[in-house]
Amino acid sequence: MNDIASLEKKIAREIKARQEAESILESLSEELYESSLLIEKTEIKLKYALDNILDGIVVIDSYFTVSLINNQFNSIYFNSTLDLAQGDNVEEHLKDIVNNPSFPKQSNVSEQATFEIQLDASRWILCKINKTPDDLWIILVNDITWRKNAELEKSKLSKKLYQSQKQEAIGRMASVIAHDFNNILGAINGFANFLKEDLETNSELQSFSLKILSAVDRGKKIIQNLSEFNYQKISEQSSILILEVIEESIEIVQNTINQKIQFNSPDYLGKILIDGNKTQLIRLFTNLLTNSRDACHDKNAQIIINLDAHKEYTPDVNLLSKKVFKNAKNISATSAGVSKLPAGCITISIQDNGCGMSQETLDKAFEPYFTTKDKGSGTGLGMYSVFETVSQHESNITILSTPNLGTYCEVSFPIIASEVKYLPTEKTSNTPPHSNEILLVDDDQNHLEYLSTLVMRMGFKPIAHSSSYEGLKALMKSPNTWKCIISDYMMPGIKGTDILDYLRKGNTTIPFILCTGYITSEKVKALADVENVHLLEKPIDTNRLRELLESIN
Amino acid sequence: MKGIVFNSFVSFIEENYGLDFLNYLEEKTGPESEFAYTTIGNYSSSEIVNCLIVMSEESGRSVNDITINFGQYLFQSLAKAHNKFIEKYDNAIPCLYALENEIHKQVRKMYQNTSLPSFDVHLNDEGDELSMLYLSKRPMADLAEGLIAGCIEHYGNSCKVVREDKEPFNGTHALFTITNI
Repeated sequence: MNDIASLEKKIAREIKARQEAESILESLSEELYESSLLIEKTEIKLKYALDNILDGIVVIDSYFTVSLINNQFNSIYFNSTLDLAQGDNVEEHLKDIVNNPSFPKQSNVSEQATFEIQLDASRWILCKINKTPDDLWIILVNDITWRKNAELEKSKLSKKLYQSQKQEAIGRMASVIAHDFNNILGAINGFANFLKEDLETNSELQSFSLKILSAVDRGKKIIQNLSEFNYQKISEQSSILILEVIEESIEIVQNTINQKIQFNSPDYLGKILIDGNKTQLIRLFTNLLTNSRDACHDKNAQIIINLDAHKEYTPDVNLLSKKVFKNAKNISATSAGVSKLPAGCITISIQDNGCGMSQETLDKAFEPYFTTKDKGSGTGLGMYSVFETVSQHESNITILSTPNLGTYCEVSFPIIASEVKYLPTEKTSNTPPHSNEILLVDDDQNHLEYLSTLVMRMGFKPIAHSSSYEGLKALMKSPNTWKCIISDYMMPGIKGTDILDYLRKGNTTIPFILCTGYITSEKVKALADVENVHLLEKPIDTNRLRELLESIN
Repeated sequence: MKGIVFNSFVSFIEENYGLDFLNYLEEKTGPESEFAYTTIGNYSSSEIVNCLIVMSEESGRSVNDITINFGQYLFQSLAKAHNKFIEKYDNAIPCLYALENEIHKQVRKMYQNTSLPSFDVHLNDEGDELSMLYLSKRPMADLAEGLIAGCIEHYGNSCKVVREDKEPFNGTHALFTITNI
């Protein structure tokens, strides 16, 4: 074949190849057009989907320009004040995100980061960044303002609860101190008065007794201030709906915890009344619920409250152990208050699946200043206050616990069965017989001795009881034989006002002198106008008591 | 097989054997394409195989030898066409190591119907010894050997290449071990 023929053939091949290439390109260009239409449709669907998700999303390329963005991102991040769009540079507009120390910046590697940003005083967002190896940043943002506000609120409420527990503890201590010192001052005052009367007028010894009396007066003022500061803490009991107490306690605690509280109460228990102090009882249940809260670290933790009524009930640790913890080992238990409840009582149980307690911990649970919580987070007075409230309400608390299984806590109260609290007494004459005996009831021995001496000096026969229970028994045995009754107000268990209530239910009008350091208490103040009832502020003014006894005689 | 290989094959014949010989091969083998190849088209590998058999008969050289020679030539053509990729490396071993993950991955994305050979590659910890297990539907292990040789020649490296054909696959499965010396 000659050269020209060869070249002609080559050219023919080239022309054929070119025609073939053109034909292929034409077909490919049609394919490309179809593909671009498909991509366009897919893009619209994708954009629609992205605009309808709750998260804000933006995709940034390696030049820090926006590749993809949804409406939600602009709404969350810019609060709709700016619309960032595809192709915009983000270094200026998203500097809070890209300048965050956790923002991944290493080239050609896959990285993830999550961080929170406070955009302004009232807005918080959560950013989740996913960086691809080919330097694309996929940024997801969520508005977490509501969560931050809830956390803030929770922290404030926890602090408030802690503060109120501390204040309550201080108040209670002040109250106890005031009560005890009043009794001591009362005895000192009384005996110093006897000295003043018995010693020679203007003698040196009598001047000493006057100095003692003057010092007692100063002490009395100090105690008065302390009592006034604390008078609102004194327990005022009334008939209350137990269901209301539980519901209010849950409402208080619910705001400070993440755990679920499940409350089961049969409808018929909604009207159950108990005799008690609502504030103290709410504090009791909030203490128990916050302890359950602190024992549960797991997010699946649960607190279950049950309400149940019994005709007769004696809390039995062995029976409760089997019922609550089945066959679990290492069950610890403790209880406080009355061991047997009167006929007709209600039980409130709180059970958690938290960390539980050992027997060693439970043994100390009711001790003041004992806490298993971190330093600064527990006063050590919460369970002590529970113990005090249980004691004051003639109720029972029983606690069972197993490490890692949880704690079961049960509080039982007597239900108000009828309007008459004490045994009915026979109707007696309004006029007391001519007796010379005066019933004295005071839990402070020194004060009781002082009262006895004074009464004897005035020619009466004192019958003294340092236990209010014994005093009440003596009164019940012979309600109408007393010239007068002198009783302390604040005593463990039965109070002076309970003795007065018993006396008045029997329609007797024997003179009643109530000695109290809590003269500002509403319940005590209400007695001021009651016939044949006299209030004497502690420490007792001997002359005033003498005047009263003389007027009774 | 992709048109770029066929275009390169035509150039290889024209440059090494002359235009007349190319026309002679067309007459002798009667390819369906009439050697009018475009880089974007796909053609049957049998057109190359038929030419190689005639070339072997006419020259007295084995088909394997000619195929290896063509492989070396093909590498130079590919290197010109994909200069950016080749310039990323200064040594044959890392370039061959990246072949499967970078070039073949992109080619598979662009031409979904193509059936490329695959290389199972393993680089030793020191980075001076590369094993490449060649797997293909076509018996083109010789072409792969030529391409490897062309790559080493392009970078001017001194490498020892050991080829181990996996029996009884006859050129569809082969293990190449390339060591820097």
